[in-house]
Amino acid sequence: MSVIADYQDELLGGMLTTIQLSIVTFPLAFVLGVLLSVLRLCPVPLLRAVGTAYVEVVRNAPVLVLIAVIVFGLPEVGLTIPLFTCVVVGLSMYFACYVCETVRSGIRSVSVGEIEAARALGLATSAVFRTVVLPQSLRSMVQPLATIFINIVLGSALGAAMGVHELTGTVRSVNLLEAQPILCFALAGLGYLVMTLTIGHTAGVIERRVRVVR
Amino acid sequence: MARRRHRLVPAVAGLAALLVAAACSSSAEPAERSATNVLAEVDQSAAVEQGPVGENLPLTPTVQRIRERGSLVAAGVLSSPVFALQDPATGRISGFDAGIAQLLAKYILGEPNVETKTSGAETRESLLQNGSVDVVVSTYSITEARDRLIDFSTPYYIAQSGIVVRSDETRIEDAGDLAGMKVATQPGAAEEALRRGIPEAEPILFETSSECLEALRQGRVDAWSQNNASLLSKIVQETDVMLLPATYGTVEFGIGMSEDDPEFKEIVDEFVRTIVADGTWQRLWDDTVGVVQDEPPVLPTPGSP
Repeated sequence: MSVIADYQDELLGGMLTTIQLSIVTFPLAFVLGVLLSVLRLCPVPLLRAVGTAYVEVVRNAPVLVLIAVIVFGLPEVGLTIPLFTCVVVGLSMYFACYVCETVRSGIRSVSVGEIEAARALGLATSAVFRTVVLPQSLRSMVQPLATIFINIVLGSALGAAMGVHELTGTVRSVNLLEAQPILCFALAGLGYLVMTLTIGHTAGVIERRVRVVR
Repeated sequence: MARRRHRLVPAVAGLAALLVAAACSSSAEPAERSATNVLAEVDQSAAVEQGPVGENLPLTPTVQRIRERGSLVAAGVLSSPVFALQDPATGRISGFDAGIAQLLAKYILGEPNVETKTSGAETRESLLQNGSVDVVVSTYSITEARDRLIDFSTPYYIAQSGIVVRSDETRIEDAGDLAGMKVATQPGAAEEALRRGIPEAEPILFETSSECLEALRQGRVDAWSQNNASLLSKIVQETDVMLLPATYGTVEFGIGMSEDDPEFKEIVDEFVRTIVADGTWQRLWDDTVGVVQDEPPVLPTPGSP
């Protein structure tokens, strides 16, 4: 147990880095994902193809490979960005695909009948989207988006392989010096659990707030 | 069919883009290839062939297990140049640690049959405690914390950490200058030596030594540190980076074993003493670490760890 006391600052620092990675990554992935879903839903075939190509390629590449290309590939073309940023960019690019698919299916879940009804009432396309489609689809996206956020928290552990000393990397280093694998990794698991349960709980609260009573 | 093609085209185009990106990132390849040529000379097989076979070994539970199986199961790494590096084309593992494992297998079995299980630095004690492997031979530093959990053999190698910097570096001359600097290193023994030797330095961890070298070249880190021999093997024909004459920290590598079979530790200790005494150790060093390092090795003095 003395390991916890001895390495308190390091462990908290590692957890803080994990939180920073996740909190910066999620909004970026969200914005990029929404843009992608707009591309994929847009009536112009070329833009739709661009959106589809991005999702099919990036989603099917291992995240670690993606981050490695950013870390070691970009400097070859003269762009060296800090390791923390590399990991954030890699995770955002990857999880944007999931956000895109979540948003797309959320929007698709609104029945065509409702949209036609709104049109028949004389609403413009933007008004149909703003007042009929989005409010309903956003509600159905809350839980899937929380799942993506949780995956981002867990995926940030890949930073440990690329020089970013987040929670997993810190625990690995502490274990290297203290040789207490079970305690060390249980501690890391607990740290991740605190973060992911918080996200899950928050999503539950948001979902109840925005629920439509039918 | 038309639908299917429609979906395949963007995927193929994207894959091509990724490949281009990957090709861009490997423009440093000619230099890396020449370093690989030096590593091709690392070959422990001659030393292993002449290695000793233990006589009248007591039949401890571990020896019995190894003999029934017909091979020694050793935890190790496959990415440590000069110590244990796997050639992806042939699957052959070459290096000093690989040689030690094979010699130990030969000492017990008469044949150098080793089954290598790759393990991270974090799982080695557990693998020994739960009997997944017979021994750990993977630049395994002997430390007090680990010695409480498992048994170490008498040291079979004494490693010193070296420092590689860019050729135009002027700020760093010895280990003391690394305080507050970003230092690339690999997780495991190298990271440990750095954390113990220069606690003020900021370790930046990469999984492979190639990544450490690349990070140094790209200016992501100020220096790169791990054991001297591994560094030499990677940079021997590079011109844009250099190894400093200064070294720091002395780390002893031991063979890790479970605590459940104390008699087996005696066999392994006797094995280390035998190969040091009969010249096998020196031959193994000449054919592995000695390929890249000119300085004569520090011979381990067999005793109790």
